[in-house]
Amino acid sequence: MSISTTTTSMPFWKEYPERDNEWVRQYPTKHVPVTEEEVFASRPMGVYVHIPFCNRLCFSCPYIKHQTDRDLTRTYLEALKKEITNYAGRPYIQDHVITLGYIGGGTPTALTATQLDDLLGHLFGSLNVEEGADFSIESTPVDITERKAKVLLERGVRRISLGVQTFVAEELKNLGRPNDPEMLKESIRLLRRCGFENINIDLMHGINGQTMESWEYSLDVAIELGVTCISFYTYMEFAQVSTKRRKLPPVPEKAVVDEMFLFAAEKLTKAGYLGYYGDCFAKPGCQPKYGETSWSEDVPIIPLGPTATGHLRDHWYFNEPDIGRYIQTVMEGRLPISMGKHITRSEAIRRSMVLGVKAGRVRRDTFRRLHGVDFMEMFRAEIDDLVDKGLITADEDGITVTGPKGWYYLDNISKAFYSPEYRRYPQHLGADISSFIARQPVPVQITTRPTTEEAGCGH
Amino acid sequence: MATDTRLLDLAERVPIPSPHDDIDKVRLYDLGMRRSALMAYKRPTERILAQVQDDMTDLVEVGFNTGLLSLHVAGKLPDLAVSGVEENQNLVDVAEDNLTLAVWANSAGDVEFEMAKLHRMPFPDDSADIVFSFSSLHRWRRPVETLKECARICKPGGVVIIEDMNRHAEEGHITFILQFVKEGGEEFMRSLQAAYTRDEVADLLKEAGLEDWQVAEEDLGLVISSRSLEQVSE
Repeated sequence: MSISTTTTSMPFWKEYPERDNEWVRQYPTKHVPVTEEEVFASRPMGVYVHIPFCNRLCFSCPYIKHQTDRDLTRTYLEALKKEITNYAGRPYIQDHVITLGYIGGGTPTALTATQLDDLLGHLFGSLNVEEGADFSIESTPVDITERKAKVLLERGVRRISLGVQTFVAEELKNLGRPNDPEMLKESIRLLRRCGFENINIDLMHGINGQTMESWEYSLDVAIELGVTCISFYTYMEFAQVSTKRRKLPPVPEKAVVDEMFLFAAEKLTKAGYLGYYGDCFAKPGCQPKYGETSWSEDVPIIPLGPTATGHLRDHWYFNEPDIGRYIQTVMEGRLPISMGKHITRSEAIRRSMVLGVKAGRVRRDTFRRLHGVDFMEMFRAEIDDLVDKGLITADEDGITVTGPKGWYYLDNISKAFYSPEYRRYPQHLGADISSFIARQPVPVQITTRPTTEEAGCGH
Repeated sequence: MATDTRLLDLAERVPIPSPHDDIDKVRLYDLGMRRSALMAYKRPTERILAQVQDDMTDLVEVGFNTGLLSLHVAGKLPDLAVSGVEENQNLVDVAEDNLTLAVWANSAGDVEFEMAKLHRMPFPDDSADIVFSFSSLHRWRRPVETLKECARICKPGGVVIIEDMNRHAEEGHITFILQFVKEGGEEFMRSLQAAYTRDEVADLLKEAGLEDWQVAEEDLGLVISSRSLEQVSE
């Protein structure tokens, strides 16, 4: 049997040297039905709201925050509302729908119930917030009350995260926090009574005086209380704490702290929690969508408040860190954008890898839809190396961070995708370094033709 | 693609015209160091302590700033005499206040601070077991002569250890520090701009006739020593 196909010229298709005479003016066919709704569909966007106040400043916490002060808080909230209004009036923002929100601090619930209600009312009323948008808020067991919990729920905040740190009284004392474990447990029960179904608690390992046994005890209490999400952090002792000066027992050895991490990862996995970001474990369906979606889906984020970091219009940037200057700038009608960087196309691709792996997995189809490239091909060398090291697995659908080894090394994995220019550079901590930047024009990379990456054709 | 683009303005050395000429600023600088620099003093202290041997009697700090390192080292070595030399009156005054507080707290060790020119120190030849300096070299007015002076006063079996910032330290590391120093950023960057690079220090040593000394780049700094530091600490 002989099978052959002869390609002949068609009225609209000629092969060189025959001259084609379909005068090209559009994209080729293969069209499908397109509706007005599709063309004008709003794209998803997130919002981060920073509340830099705490009712009680813990000596072990190094972050910038202010003691709640009636006048300062009131002035700040006025500025914050003005910043929201400024963003809300911009057509680019109006073209998007808010699907994600995170209210962090400080302690957002250091605000009164009335202030929270007013702020959330303004936020939800000004921006185009999707029905059922995923909003999270940070709190502490001390600052949350029934009235505040109800305000949050009524306004549409569905996930709450409590900074518990430990359920051991002695360890709470060593962190400079209110040290009644019963009060902590009661705050979780209160939230559940009020109607919160998705409750995260933060736990710390590596605290002064902590042992493997006491760490297991805190994890057991959390699991028994039925919280839906547990995030754990390694406690870093900062100079202002000084174990010796405060006569605190020492922090556990690094090897013990590492063991605590792996122990918790295994215990929580067995208890039915799934891992995210290496140190966050959530019951199925209760994962923190703000981080997962904004990172994996490259959702732009509006940053609100001093030091808040956002990602809009091909720039990442952070807001003026000084609260006084922040208020002044906003009240003058300007956005308080301080420093940041334009993200080129090749850096945007890398950024999606760097942040995407933080969520534990990067999907090939999602990535291709977002960036039009096959990351498995583009980063083949990096991926092969990570697979060899046992840090990720790769298949047809994409890559997945291994547990617990990959979770433990998650930030190493993430940084494997930094471009050479940013290797051995730190992340910003919200400081204004503008006065130290070289004044002469920054030398430009001169290339005779676009790199494969820049051209977006590396697949 | 890697570029050689430097973000920060550190290509050329810019000496500080009149360092520490305002006593109030010196007091603020000292307060800032006392509050936050304990970690930064840890390594230089350990490096000095690692060189101490049983028969040693005298240590000299060249350019003691506000005296914190001398006090810190002397507190750990109560049987050794630590003599500090500084040529700026404001620094000497604040160091004296710090010494007074240490005496008040019964934890001064055997320390004395003295005002003198760094390139003509008031010590005999071969009189110090360890000559050390930390964060001072960048404002030495006569660095070549001062290096020679360090060599002159150091005993034949002793050691000179001079640490200061490296103007060409990794830029990522510098930006990291800048995020922490906050209001001290201006001061930090002016000092860094005035600091030497590894090659510039090598040139100074050559000019001073100290070709056999060593220069090592370490994190943000340079460690200059009259001999290999591993020898004694082993």
